[in-house]
Amino acid sequence: MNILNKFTLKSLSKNKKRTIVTIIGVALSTALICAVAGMLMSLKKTLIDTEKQNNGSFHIRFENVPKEELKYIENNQNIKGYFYSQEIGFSYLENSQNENKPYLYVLGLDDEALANSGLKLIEGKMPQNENELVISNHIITNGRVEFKVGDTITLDIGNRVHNSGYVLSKYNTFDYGSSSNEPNIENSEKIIDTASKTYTIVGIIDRPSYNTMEPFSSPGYTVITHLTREQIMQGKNANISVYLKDPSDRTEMEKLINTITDTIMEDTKAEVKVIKNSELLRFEGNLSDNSLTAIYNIVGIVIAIIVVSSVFVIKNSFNISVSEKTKQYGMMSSVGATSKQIRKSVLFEALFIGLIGIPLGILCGIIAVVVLVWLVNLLTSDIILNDSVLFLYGLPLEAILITVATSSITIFFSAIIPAIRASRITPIEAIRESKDIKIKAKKIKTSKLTKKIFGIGGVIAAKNLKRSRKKYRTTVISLVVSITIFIALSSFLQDGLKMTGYYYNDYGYNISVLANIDKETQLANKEKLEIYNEIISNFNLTDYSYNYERNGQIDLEKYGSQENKDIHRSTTDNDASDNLDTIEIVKLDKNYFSRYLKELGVKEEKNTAILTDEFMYSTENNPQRVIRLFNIKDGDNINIITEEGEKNITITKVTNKPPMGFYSSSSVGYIFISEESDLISTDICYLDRLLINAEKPNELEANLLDMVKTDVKYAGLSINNIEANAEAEKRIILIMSIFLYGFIGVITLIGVTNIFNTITTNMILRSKEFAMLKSIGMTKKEFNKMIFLESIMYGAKSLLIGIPLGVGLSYLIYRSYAQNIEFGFRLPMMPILLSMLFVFIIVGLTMKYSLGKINKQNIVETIRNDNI
Amino acid sequence: MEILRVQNLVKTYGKGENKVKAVDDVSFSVEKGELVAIVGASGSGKSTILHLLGGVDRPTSGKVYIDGKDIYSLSNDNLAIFRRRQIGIIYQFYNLIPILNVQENITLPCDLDGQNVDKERLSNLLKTLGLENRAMHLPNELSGGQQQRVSIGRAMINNPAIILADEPTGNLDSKASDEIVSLLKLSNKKYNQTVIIITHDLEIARQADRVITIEDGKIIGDERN
Ligand SMILES: Nc1ncnc2c1ncn2[C@@H]1O[C@H](COP(=O)(O)OP(=O)(O)OP(=O)(O)O)[C@@H](O)[C@H]1O
Ligand SMILES: [Mg+2]
Repeated sequence: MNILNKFTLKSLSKNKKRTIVTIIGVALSTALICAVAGMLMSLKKTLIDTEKQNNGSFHIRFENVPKEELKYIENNQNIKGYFYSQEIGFSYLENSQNENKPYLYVLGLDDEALANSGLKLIEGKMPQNENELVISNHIITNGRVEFKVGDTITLDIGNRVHNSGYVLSKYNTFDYGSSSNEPNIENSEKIIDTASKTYTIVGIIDRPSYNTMEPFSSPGYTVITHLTREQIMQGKNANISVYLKDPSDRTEMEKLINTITDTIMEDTKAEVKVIKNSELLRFEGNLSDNSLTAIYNIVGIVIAIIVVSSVFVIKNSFNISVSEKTKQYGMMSSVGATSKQIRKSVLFEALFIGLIGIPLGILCGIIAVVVLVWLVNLLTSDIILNDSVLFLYGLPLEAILITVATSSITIFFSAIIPAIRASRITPIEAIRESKDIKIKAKKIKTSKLTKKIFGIGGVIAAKNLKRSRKKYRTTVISLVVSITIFIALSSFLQDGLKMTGYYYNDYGYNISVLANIDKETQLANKEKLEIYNEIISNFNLTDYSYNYERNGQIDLEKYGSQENKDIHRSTTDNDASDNLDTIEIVKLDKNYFSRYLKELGVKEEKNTAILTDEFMYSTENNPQRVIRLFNIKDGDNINIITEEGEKNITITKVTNKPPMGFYSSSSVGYIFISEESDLISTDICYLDRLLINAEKPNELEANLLDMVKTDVKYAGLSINNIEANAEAEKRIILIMSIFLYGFIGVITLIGVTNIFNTITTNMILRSKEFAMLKSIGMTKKEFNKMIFLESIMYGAKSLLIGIPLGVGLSYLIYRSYAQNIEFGFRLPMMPILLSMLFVFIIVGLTMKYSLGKINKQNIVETIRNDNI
Repeated sequence: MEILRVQNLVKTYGKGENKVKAVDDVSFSVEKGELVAIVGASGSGKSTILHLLGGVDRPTSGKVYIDGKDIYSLSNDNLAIFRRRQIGIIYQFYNLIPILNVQENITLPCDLDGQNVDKERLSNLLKTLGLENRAMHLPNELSGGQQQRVSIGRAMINNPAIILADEPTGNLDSKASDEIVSLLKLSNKKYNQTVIIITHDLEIARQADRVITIEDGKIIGDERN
């Protein structure tokens, strides 16, 4: 081996600890890059897999292809795989309640197609022969036709044609081209050439993808049977779904589509319909509006941050290593080493560090990705109710290559400047430096005050910091970066937690159910109430409420508070007619109303009325505060204009405790009365949600969802699990915290490696000076005090810069989302205290470590060592 | 044969009021095989001249020819290559590489040049230097005199045109210093090696073929013994 490389390796092994710490720094930064790239790849893989599950695992489908033309597609060199399906035809769906979907659309799929079309089985099994059928649950929930697994149905399947003779496909809506508002099957289209076929229903699937199988506007519900390839070849035109070799090449794909459609058109005049699985293609990089672009950008920025801070830190390690060898490089140069040779030897050091650090980092990165993915799945598995795709591992070769490239560049840039510096060392500088260290007296002047307060130890400490200002600058900057990021991100996360807590804490209920019934109010109310009562008795609910609502008008001039008038003036166009303010009249169900009154301590009478009108008010100049909308007191008699004329209501009590489901931050006043009150009639009110405060909300939600899926009557129910939503949001914040704190942690650790290297080398470089101080009689205690003061001085300096920067950054972040939240900026005290603690622990530990080493050193040995 | 020629060599430090003329228009030449001593008071400019002769510093003006070559017309890298082949420098504080052993320190100029070290020459040299039992030791395991012998070995390994020594005995007791001087004299006599040695020791100066006296950066005496 070349003598300079040998020299480099020997120095590295002599400074084993520093070498290891530098390698750890490199490994950490590599691991971080690898983890970020790996998480990105995992996300991409998850998204792609989700798309495959939802929309099918193919890129393009050519529909209605004459069978003799299929070979052009099968044999195309850009195609990796394909599968078939075939339209069997349309049949009437008797009793379909959806006027726009009067048909069943029968489709035959081969084995591969059944597996790769994004079909999700809810119940039963997939069809295994041409007599078995799976139906979409949409037939039950939307069409409201009751089918069960095991039923046998006989269908008259044929072609759907328009009265003009034009053949219609599933892409033509029902009653295509008709101007009539009342769809009329007889008039506009019909099914002809029917053949009768009996099927057994073996399973129920989710509604097929609207992107790739059943468009929303499709006139038929899709039902699927199994066909073998041979059976398909005997039938009419086929659909072929293909998987491309390179889905990211958009022009190639368009060319492929055009060639195929043109060829078929020329040969047979058949018009082939092309369906692109655009969601999948998008995530595989095909479309220009790539949804991943934003994420790629963020990841790019994050990696840039890692690279910049790593270069900064690793560069410092090389700088230390080079400065320590300055004299030796000078000697090398004086006996004839060229600058190129010296530069190369520093780069060789970088190569050596990289060869160990990068593979180590990649290993750690992969482990980190596996653990993170596992953690994300663990944290989300019980809150994602549907059968969504789990977060997947995805760390393909390309992520590793990106990491290797990025880290190599990082190390190269970290080493190149120290390398150039080393190669510029002239022998004369090295020889002179060995005789006298050039320090300008003025630069290290310290005040007399320092001496008075801290004694000579303090003076030497301060002088030393000034002397090696540049060395300590890196340490201070490292600390500042960590402190700033820590404070800013922590306060961001705390605000996030506060926000979710704020929105979900005080609802008083955890599940809401709304029956959507598209009928005239009075009839709708009746049906809804029936459903609600069934739910209440089915599940033995006790803590629930429902209410009827209707808005009325109130005289703003007479009753409105000053602030309310201000709001009105600023929001309306200030018409004379607009002297009325809306007030909501709410009829609570009688059970809950009694309970509510008890809580308020109000005696119930027939026409008891409760008013809530508190409002969180803020203007540009005024911070938030709670105001009242009306000047109304307990016992006041007020007039309200309703649809049924002007009503006179006596307000029994004004309160700031609204009933379940209402909260005070809306800008409307509410009057709560009983269901049985005759102030206004229930028939003109709208029956709103059923609010339930369930003991086991998740269980109840699952049961309700079951009802929706299996019973046609409940098909229109929308269920909202507040707690699950809040929980989901909390989990997402938790996952974000893990990611962000992990990120801060590793960035900080990288910084710590740097701090460790700087401080320990500095201690060692000064060991002769320390030996001298000891030899002239400095006690161990004084000595430790001196070192301690030194640590305090630059720890404090980092905090003095880092804390204001961190607070400033968190304020900027706060400002960026402040419009949406209702709390003010607060100094992130906790993160500030933690960062102070952290800085002194880090600094203290490193100091203690190097002190231990120095105290062990023998004075004579030290002085002698420095002489060679 | 003339091996070294110095023409109007000037080296100044600083600017304006602080300007120091460390070497002030010095010219002389040295024949091959001469043993030259340079003497003078502390701060007179001896080390500066020696560094300029060795090509480790650059003059403010003037020229240095070694073996007929104007060394400061060379680029830095070519000058480095010239140094490792044609010049051997010995310093007062040995200036060895602490993590390389004796043998590696000695062969450093060869290794840098990518030459194969002549094993026989190396073992002869080690024997001459009295270091045959110390070849694998690190510098801090050696005495001052031994360390200085290593640096002489390093200077001699490539058979340079000229050896320059800056107070090689300044740090040593009289016995060790005698050994060093006899080694230098030996190489001068045995290999007809040109040696220039800076010294405060008049006894050493007396043993040289020629003594050059420097004062305030100027040559004020040039005598042959
Ligand atoms: N880097 C420098 N900057 C300014 N002045 C310098 C520098 N190097 C040397 N000098 C000055 O040049 C003069 C000559 O220095 P030099 O080291 O050559 O003296 P010397 O004769 O070797 O002395 P000594 O016998 O003490 O080693 C001195 O006055 C010194 O102060
Ligand atoms: Mg000198």
